[in-house]
Amino acid sequence: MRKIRAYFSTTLKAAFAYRIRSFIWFLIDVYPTLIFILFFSAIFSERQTIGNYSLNSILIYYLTTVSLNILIISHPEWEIAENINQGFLSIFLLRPMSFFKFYVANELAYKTIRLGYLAPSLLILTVFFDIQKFIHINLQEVIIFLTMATLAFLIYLFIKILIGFAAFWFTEITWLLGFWESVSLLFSGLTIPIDLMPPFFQKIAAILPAKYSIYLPAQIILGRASLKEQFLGLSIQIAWLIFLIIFTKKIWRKGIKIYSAYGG
Amino acid sequence: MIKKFSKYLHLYFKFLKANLIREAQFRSNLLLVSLGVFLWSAVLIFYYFFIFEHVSSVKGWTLGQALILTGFYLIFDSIIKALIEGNFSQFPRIIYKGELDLILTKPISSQFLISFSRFSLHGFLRFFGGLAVLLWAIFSFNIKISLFGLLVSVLAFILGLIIVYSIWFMILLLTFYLGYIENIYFLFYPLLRISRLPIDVLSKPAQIIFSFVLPLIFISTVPTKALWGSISWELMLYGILAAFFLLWLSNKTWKIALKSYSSASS
Repeated sequence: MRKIRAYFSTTLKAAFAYRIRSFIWFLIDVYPTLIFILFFSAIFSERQTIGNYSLNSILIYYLTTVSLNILIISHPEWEIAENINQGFLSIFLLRPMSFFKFYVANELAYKTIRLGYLAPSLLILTVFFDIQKFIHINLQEVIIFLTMATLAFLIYLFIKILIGFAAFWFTEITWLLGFWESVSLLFSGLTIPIDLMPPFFQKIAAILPAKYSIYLPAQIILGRASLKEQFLGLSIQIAWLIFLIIFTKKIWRKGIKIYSAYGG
Repeated sequence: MIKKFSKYLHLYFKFLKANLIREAQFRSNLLLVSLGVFLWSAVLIFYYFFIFEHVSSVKGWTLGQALILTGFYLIFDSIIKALIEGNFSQFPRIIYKGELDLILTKPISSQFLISFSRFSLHGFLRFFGGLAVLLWAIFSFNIKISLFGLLVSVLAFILGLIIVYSIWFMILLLTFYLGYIENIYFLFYPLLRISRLPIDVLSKPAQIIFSFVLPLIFISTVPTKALWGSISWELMLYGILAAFFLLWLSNKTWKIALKSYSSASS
């Protein structure tokens, strides 16, 4: 735990030193959702509802999904791939430090900085638009929401670590990241709520972890997820996380067998 | 003037060749990235399909028209990614690390060299995806276009490229004053992405801003509407003036910013 705290503190200081850079990344996470909100606002200027959504509920939906996107989805893949390609991975292999713990602490630090930008923005929106009036959630649902968000953070982190590990075999990882980002964007509900999609797409979303990381927590905030759905979502998340942990460790072991670095 | 233009064109082809040779080293990556890019383009298209399952039109835009707009946006995005992005992403590093010395000492325009020496083939590949969406939408939804409309559309598209290049370039000049911010070139993306939407869905003040102050409507809305002739000649004239003014301004501000540059080398 001491090591994790040390990694966390170092990354936090580094991220804080480059505040403008962190803020630009924050904006980049926010703007796609703003575009979806703008489009839906235009739709709702001509009609009252679309599917089960009113203007208020769609705003809360997107506000939740964008917040989760900012706090859950991490980006360690480029650094991992660069470490593998440049030979810096040797540092992890030679020193008594866990590669995985390092990245968990690292990403937690980045998320803390993002929370620093997100929290005041949400507070302003809540005060000005009276958002709390439209949120129907009890204590039990708050706990389930937070658990889902934590599991989602770990699921996305392990997926991104796996994408970074592709550099053991392929050098370039852009293509794999592109595939995953497209799938995640569509099936997490970040572009459009999954219940507005045709049944075929809803069936695909149901087996992927993205839906339970973004869409389902947003439905909990809207008070639209039954207890059964919440627990089913949690179970699927846990199953995915266990699978990803086992698979990532297996890939790590295979990867370091073929890894080579030169120099002193 | 013509001699100078052909000199720069010749130089650009040299850059292009060198970049293509570099990218050819990673052929399998190129192919896989292209597939990923097509998937990403598909997400944009699915978005409109899903929405238009529930509504027949949004602010006068039908599904077919929205898809044509998406086609234009994808083509625009591909050209930006191929021609500009690879250069602009290096911009902060070049200035911060003092590598601008190498560029300034060359006997050609430093703005040209810093803006166009890199070309990304895999960025360009989505061009074909965009073109396919555009043609498919025109024919499938029976959108009537005229030859004159097509010519105006192409002109508007080129104006959009000049406008975006100039604005983005000027934003990057902040690097001279703010220090090293590696992701500063991303700052323009939120504005660029607005063009994924028809201008009519925005509020009136936003429509005025994106039509006249930052005329980004020339990226996709104007080329799309021009196809069926619903663009006024006054707006086109304004676009021509704005594009050339912004290009001129980008050169002036570049020269001013250069005065703040202090080399890091000996």
